[in-house]
Amino acid sequence: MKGPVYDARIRYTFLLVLTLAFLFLSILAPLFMPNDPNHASLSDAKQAPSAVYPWGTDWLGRCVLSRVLAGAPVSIFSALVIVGLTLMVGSAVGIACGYWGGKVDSILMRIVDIFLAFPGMVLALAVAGMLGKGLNNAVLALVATGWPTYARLMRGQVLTLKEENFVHAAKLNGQTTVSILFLHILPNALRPVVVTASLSIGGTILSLAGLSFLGLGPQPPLAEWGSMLADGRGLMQQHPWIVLYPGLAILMTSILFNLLGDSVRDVLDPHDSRNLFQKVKRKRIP
Amino acid sequence: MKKSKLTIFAMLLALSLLVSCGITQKQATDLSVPVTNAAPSTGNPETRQDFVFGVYNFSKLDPADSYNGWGTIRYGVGETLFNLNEHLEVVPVLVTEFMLSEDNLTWTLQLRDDVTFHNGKPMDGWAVKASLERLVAKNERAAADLKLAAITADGFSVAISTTQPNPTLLNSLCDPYACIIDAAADDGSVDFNLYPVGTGPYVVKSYVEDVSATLEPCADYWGGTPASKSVTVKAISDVDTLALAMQNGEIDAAYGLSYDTLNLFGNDEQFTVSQAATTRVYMLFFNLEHEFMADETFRRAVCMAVDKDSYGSVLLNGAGTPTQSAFPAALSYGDDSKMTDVPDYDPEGARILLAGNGYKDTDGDGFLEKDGKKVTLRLVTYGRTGLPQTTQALQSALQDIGIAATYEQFESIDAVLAAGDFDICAYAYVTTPTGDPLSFLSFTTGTGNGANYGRYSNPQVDQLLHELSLEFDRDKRAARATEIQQIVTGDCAYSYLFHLNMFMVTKKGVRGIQQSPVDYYQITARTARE
Repeated sequence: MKGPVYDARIRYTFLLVLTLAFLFLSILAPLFMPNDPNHASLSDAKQAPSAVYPWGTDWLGRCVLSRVLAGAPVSIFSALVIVGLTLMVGSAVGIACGYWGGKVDSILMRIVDIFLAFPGMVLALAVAGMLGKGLNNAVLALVATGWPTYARLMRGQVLTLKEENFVHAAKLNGQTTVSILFLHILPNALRPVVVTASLSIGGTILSLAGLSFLGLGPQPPLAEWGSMLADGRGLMQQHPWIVLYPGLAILMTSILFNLLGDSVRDVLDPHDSRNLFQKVKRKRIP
Repeated sequence: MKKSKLTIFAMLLALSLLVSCGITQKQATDLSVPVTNAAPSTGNPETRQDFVFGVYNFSKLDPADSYNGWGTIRYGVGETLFNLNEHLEVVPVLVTEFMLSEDNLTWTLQLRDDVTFHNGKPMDGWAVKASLERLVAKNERAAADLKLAAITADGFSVAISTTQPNPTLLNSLCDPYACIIDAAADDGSVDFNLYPVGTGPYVVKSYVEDVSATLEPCADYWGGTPASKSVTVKAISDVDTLALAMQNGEIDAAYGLSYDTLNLFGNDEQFTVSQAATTRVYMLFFNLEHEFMADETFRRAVCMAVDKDSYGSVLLNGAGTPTQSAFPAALSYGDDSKMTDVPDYDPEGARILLAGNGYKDTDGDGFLEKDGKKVTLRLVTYGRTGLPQTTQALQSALQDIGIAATYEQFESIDAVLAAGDFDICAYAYVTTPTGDPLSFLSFTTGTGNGANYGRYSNPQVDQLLHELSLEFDRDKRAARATEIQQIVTGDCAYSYLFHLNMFMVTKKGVRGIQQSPVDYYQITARTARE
């Protein structure tokens, strides 16, 4: 069982375990905080890393380590929620368009074209700007601008699949549309969508941090990595630790999710027949 | 491939182990600043250099339009008849003699006869009359301050009559709005807000909105040839970008830098830091019409949560001088020791005060309720350096005494304030732009007045304001102003936090531009790079 596929599976398993451990730890992170992340103590402001404040303090005298830890669930789980929601919304639209076609398809796909014509971040900024500041609105903005990619991808899959013999056969058997969609089309169309989703988690963490860096994310005093960077950028030259650690947190997290996404693609590669999900290959009617 | 990955990880590891770089505090302080625009210049046309000035709050230039006159004066395009010196006393600039009539109603000013506008027209009595009449027609604030009845011009003299005795007329003539411009040139042929015709050392050559203005020296400036070949004022509204522009030499002087950069530039040989105590006060507006803030005891507790000393020394990096008064202690009406009824910083006392007045944490969430209703305050502010920090520190301090507070920062705060959509607003106010307390006190504490956003109203204060507006005696004016502040701070209607020691950074070898105690004197005829 050696070879490229085996390597990919090892890598995938390793990264998955690492990511799950990381997610688990980030849920528990608030338990390990050495100090109250929102407690301002002006007499301790801008202190270099020390025993009491292992990663130093920010301009308001808050513990940087505690804030990075407190920000972990906010940053990571918001990104997961965003990816999950975009995937659901985009897939629903894509399936509807691909399966029924017609006018609805034309209209929705033109809307998708419009969305895809704008750079994602610019559009997200505009939407977040309209909705107002706050974490929920930032999440909504990223969902609102992220779904068209999935819609387009899913529509393409469904268009090919609905002409497959097993779908025709299911129709002849008298199966309902719902069961055709969920039992026969969705499982087979999901693979490239899942790959895209897992690859986009890292980018989503960056986008969310970007929005809150620009002041459109969570409002003070809630700790979030992007807003911690924005807060500390004026002090970067004098007190580098204020931006260094949240910056590293963002960097490491997005690297981890990108590597995981990469390896998910490797193992799910539809062109390789010997992949991990061999057993759930397309259902074919004898 | 493996090796390069290892190297990257090693570098990251090294970064994460990075510990502090020791930074010592050193601040260049220079309080002896010449403030007159009209200093003789030393420009030698052969060796003059271009000068680039980076500012965070670039403004348009029609002095009669809202606060744009600050830009007109700051960039050396216009001048006022009188200036304020470093003690905020009125000194004549475009005027040689001035006298007040027996009935205190008419000021007669003798103008300099060698001053011309940028278009070559002489600045005579008729031009000054036209300029001031245009001002009061366009600017309500000026009309309220000046109280003009009539202006008569005759050659190089001008007689200004007021509707009632106006002890602060000359002070008001120092306000940037009273910058003398050629009103006849505002004929619609150019946008006067971008290309005003003034009497200053520099003429606007090109103006790109929100980007930059290029100024050329005025060849026949009455104060001598301006010392720079040209002046470019660059708009850099992000304070961090401004600091970087200063560091890489893109600009010769920077105004509006973050106070965190004081050490950065103060410790660097390539730069000069000039710092001056100004009359800009960081203060809190309380909305007296809102549920909890209407309660004087509650406001007192809020005041007791405010740690003025730390805000000035930590958040403003030592550039804030804590105060009880709206005016700096150097002024006769800014004596801190007379503000006896201002609560001191005492969070424990605040907790006790609140507990004794029915504010209790009944649902155990760590925050107080009154009669079953949760106490939540809305804190707002805008982006001027130090304000967001102050407001967030206050938010944290309020939470410490059990008051829940939300924080929001706006691009422009005036609409929020006017709508009364706030509980507490941190605001930076220049309290004596013209060397007199009346304007600020009247605007912020007089019933129904323009900047009284918290809707404070006290008949006693209104009466004293009226007396102050008619009083010519300096000592009595100071006494009235002090009395008004005693009442206002005793009512906890406002909290004055600290006065700002503003600073400006210039490259070594730049002369004729420094932080002035009067915030609007910047570019002069002497401003130049060597």
